[in-house]
Amino acid sequence: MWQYIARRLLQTIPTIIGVSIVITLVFRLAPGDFLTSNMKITDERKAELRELYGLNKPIPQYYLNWVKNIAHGDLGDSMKFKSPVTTVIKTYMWNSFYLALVALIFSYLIALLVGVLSATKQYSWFDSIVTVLVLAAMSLPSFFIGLLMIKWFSIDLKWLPVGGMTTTGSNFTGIKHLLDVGKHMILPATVLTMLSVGSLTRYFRTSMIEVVRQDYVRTARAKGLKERVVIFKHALRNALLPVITLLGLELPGLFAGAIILEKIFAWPGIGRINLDAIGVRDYPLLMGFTMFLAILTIIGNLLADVFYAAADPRIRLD
Amino acid sequence: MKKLFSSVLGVVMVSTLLLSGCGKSNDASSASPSASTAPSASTAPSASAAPSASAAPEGIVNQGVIEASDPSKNPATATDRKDTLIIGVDAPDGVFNPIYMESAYDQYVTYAMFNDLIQVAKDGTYAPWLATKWDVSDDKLTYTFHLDPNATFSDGTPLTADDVAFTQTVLHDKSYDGPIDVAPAFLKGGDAYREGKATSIEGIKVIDAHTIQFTTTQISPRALPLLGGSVLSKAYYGKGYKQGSLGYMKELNQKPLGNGPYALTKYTAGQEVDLKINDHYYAKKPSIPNLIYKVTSEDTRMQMLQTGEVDMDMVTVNKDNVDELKGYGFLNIDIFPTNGYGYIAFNHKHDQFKDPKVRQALAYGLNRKDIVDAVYQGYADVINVPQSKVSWAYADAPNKYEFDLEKAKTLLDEAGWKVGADGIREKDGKKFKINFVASSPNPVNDAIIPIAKENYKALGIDFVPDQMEFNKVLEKKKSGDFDMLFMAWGLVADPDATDIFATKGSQNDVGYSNPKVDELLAKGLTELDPEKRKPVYADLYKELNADLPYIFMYQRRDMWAINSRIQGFDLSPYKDFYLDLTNISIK
Repeated sequence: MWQYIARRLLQTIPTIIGVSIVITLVFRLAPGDFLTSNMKITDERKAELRELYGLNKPIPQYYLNWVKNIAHGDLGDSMKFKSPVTTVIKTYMWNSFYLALVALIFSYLIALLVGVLSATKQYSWFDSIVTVLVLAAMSLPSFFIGLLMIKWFSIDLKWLPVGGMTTTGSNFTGIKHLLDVGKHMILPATVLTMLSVGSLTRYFRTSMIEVVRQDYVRTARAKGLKERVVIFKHALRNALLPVITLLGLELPGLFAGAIILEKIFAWPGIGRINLDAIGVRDYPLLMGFTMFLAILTIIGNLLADVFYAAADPRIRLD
Repeated sequence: MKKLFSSVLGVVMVSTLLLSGCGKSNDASSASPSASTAPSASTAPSASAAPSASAAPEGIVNQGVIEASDPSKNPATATDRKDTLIIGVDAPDGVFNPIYMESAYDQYVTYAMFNDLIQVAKDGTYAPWLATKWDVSDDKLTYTFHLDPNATFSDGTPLTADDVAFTQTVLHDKSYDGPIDVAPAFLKGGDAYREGKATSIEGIKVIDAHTIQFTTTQISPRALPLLGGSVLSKAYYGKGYKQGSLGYMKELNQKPLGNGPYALTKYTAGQEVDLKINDHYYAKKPSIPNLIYKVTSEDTRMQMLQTGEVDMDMVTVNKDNVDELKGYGFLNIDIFPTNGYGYIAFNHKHDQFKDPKVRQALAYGLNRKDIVDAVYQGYADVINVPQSKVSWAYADAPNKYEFDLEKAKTLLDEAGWKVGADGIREKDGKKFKINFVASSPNPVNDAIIPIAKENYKALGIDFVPDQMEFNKVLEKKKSGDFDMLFMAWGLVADPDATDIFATKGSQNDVGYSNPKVDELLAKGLTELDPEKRKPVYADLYKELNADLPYIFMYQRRDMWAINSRIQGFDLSPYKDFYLDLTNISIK
């Protein structure tokens, strides 16, 4: 096992190098840089600033410089925020993470419950209604549900805040702060959950239906076990195996931020920061953050494989 | 491994898609004021063209204040807030330093904490701020500022001429990478300091604690706003300053030490900025103890105003929004002309646009009013000179270029472009084809393209639009790979337009060249007195109006929606709301 992990880690090195080259090329070959759209300063001043920012260097040199700094743990300074990229990412990333985590937990819980129930009652009324509902939730555009919910729950009913993460001007600490954030999180987390719960439900349902048809489930039933035990103890545990892979792939998503929802709900997350950085061509921030997500993707994949092997004795990592 | 690589690549691909899809849309209709860290205007106050309420064709008020119809509808959320003003803004970047900030929202926050030496008044002229007065020598090269002797920083230490000298020195440092370009101030010895040939700037002379003198090498109307800019505390920001190394100062961006009416208490990135009265403020203190900038989103700005969660916010000006805001009843709506204009540029390096008659024909032959009304629904005017109607330098010009296809055809005939067999005009065997490079998404381009295609087809011109991301358009503009394109300029208070229209202007990448324009632009810079400069600019606008470097398109509007419980704002395109923070009160 450890040998396998070591080998996989070694294998990621060329992947990371490849990705870093692709990232540099993709961003640096796009037209314009941080100064292009600045109409307020002269070309001479732009040239001076390009020199200070290192933007006048040829791409290979820029790339090597960037890699060299990363090796020293320095992702450079964001041009827009005028502070280190790591600080900017840290400032906004956790806000996105909390929101994504809450939505993830709820969507898995709901999807699991609904998926299992509709699998055991395949083609029943319940199954059909659930199928229609989850597909409907999945198909509505997020900005539409988001704005609709704001209208209903914030404007008409005045139950929940319109946007933001904390009450304006508040100075809550401890549990009060958590409750305040929680209140602001209800709407965006609900919309995020609605969007992802649909496909997950279908996934769990299919996985469960497959398992229920297996011989060992029939054996369990033949032994005279209660249906509840058969489903939740014997069948469910096997049906859950694919979840490990799914969760591993969710890892970068937890930190990437939800661009559209963060915008609508004025949630101070990294998604909006990333979008703004693209608009103004803040290369250090863009490249640093994309690299970070790429590495998370690699880690997520590795973790998924390792945990899958640990959970399923049929899989051997050699 | 392959799967892994492809999913990693997926991450990159998503960013790439965003890169191509979501550029910064230029100007257009979004309410995105741009930071003008170096406002320029004239030296002495002059008779100003005060904005007068003008009515648009449909009878809508597109300039001035629309008073709240029923302040009693004010929600309790707002009226219960007795000691706090909440201003809705887009997220600031957290750069609260007047010499480093770039976004307009950082500027809003920073200018609640920092005063400049001088300020831009409502009519675009200059007024005292930290400096009680200033003198300009007879040769117009030496500026002397007299500081308010009571001025202090928010830690109670006095603000002196040394601090002013320090700030100007930093701006000339080689390692200064902020957005202010000090070159047009022509401060004596500035270049030598930047190049490291001198250890101080020759042109800065501290006369006494409250008097400072700057010597410049060239007459420039842009020197005053640059020299009369912000003041940083030398004791605080200059700790550890060595010539050529300013990197340390960025660490103080979120720990500002200002000299303005408010001081920072808390900054929560992406959420809000909290300020309270600066106890050490030297002048009249604000009457509202707390000021909060709350981050709002484009989608829910009006809802936040409606529920009373914010007191004021800038909302995109169009008929729907104005009607909606009016409907709330408790908001005062302040609409004023944006200090800037939209235009369609010609590529003057291409032969077909060298004849002024062709340019005039393309202006006559384009239904500009339809385009502008389609986008702004009455909240923009079609313009014929490149200057704001509220500027002291504004002068009307004779040619109105009202939509007239027949006149356009005549002009094209006169210019030698004859209709060919296929209905397309040609000259010397070359077909008249216009490659129109357009940024997308952009509502103005969305309106120009169908109308121009139809109008120019009627003239016998093949109009071919090519839509792309904004940065790509800028690149094409720079390299000259276009025939025509739409863009917008933001203006400052000073009317100088050398950068844009002079043959060697730094922003003149469309290749416009007209000796008479060059001469007038140069003449406009030799005087500092607005009264003497006015006729020069009148001549300039007349010449530009006849010669048409661009098809001038429109001047749009900006709008602040302000809760009627807040009284005392007096805004103009030149005067931002933060200049009124000490004048306003809660009713």
